[in-house]
Amino acid sequence: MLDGLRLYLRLASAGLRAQMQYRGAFVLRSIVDFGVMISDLGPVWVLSSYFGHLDGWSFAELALLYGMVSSSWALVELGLRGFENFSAYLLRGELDKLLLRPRSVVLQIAALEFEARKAARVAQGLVVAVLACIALRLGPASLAWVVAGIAGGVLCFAGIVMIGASVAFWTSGETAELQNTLTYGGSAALSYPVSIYTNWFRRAITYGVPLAFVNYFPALAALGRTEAAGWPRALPWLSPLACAGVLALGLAAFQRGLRRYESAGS
Amino acid sequence: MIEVVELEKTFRVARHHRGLAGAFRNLVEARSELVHAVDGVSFRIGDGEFVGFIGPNGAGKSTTLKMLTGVLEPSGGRARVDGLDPRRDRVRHTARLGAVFGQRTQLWWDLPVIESYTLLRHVYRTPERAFADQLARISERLELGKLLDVPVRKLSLGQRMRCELAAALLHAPPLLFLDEPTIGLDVVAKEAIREFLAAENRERRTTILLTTHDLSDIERLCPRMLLIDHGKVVYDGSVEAVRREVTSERRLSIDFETDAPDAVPDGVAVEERRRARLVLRFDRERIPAPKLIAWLAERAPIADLSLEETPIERIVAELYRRSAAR
Repeated sequence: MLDGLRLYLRLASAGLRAQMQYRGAFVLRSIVDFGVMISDLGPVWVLSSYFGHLDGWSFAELALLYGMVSSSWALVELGLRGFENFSAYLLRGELDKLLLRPRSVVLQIAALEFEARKAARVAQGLVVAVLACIALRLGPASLAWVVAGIAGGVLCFAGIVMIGASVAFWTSGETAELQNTLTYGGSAALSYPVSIYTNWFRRAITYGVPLAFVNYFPALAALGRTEAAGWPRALPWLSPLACAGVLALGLAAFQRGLRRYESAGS
Repeated sequence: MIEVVELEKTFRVARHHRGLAGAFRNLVEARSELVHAVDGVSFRIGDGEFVGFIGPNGAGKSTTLKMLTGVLEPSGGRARVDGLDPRRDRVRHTARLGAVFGQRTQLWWDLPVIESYTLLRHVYRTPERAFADQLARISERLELGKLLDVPVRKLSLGQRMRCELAAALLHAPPLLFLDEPTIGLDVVAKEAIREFLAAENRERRTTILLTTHDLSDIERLCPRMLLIDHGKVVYDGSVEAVRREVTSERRLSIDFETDAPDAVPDGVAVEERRRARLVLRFDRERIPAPKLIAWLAERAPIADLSLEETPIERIVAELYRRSAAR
């Protein structure tokens, strides 16, 4: 396990050094990333300052939602970048190379195309979340919910990128768009309280792809508003389970795909 | 030891309708058919052997090799490498295996070669000392010295191939699989690689399996060749034995001091004729070489001559023809 983690870090840092060979592109991408980061929070601020609040959520509370989901998603982007671009990698027929090495394939893919600049996004998400927690004067129990929500989000998004990557084994085509819809789309949607959405969409992200468990329910629990929002008081406790479930599904799907690949060939 | 029994691999290949209308039909009506890429292949390879796989494109060479590496799962039959199932025991198996797959690189494209090697040391958990020794030995043999600090993308194909080969051997595997290691290389680069492989096999008793289209690789390196066609082993034996078995034909090139004779004995074919030169093909069972030479010397004084065995290309072409006729 520890040995695996060490190898992951070595492979990831090799990817990083490779990118830094192209200095211009590296700097430019970092600048673009920073711009995107700043502009991300804009709409939330505009909406809440215009209406004073959004469906009963103050700006600080919205910032908490945003900080939680963007930390989770950025951590996954940082740690599992290879799964996001997996379909292209598979199409190029490069999976064989990983299968020829005596190490876990999942670990090797996770470390592909590691991008350290995503660490800046993690920092941005965490800073927003921390500032929101301070502004809201959250107690220890509430803080625990925030941390649990971020951790659960990591599991959930990790599961989603793995499921998305696995689809490539069957379609043998690009699946990046499909993944992006769920991940970038999901994390953008979750920057707002789930309650503002229309019925079918709310159900889809609660019972279908359980995105609502990433930040909405943990945030409700942290703010002590679960029942006020019309949900059973115990519901947020399902969050870790739902999120771990998505990850388990992702790992299983990927293993299935790998077996299919090994029996179908390139 | 490698043991392969009745190995099979069947692919399901989608059949597409043609044209734009066909493209829409493909969406609703998927047609596919089974292709038997490997169709009952059996062989045994002992420790320290150097075996060449040859066969036309699509004959099933690479598929067989991929099943032996554990990348592909057989559809039937079984493969064992030192008692390990290449797929179920993938991690243990690949730890003892070095592989170079022709056009694919296993090096990090943008990093200096030495950094790829260091990463591979960690991937294979090679002890530092053993790694240093092996690297020193191989880089001397393959003359990698100056290349180690160059990013892989800046290497020529020949240089890269040498680096790939070293990468596959740094964990000192007893088994080496090579898929087209000399493809696209110039004569000098080819020779460097061949010399290295021959030495690895001879001195370290590394078992080597190689697929190639370049039959001179086989002739130069492999005491044993496996010819595969249509997913089956068509021939398994030495180059010499197959040469005797397939043909007793030889070739005689001969330069005369005067004009070449107009006629040749019965059963001798003229491959090339110039004023003072003849290239003849003859069957040594029907007319032994000394007799043919004597016959010619009677008609014109001979300046120089050379006798050649049938080139391996012709032998292999003959084997293909036979397997197609079967």
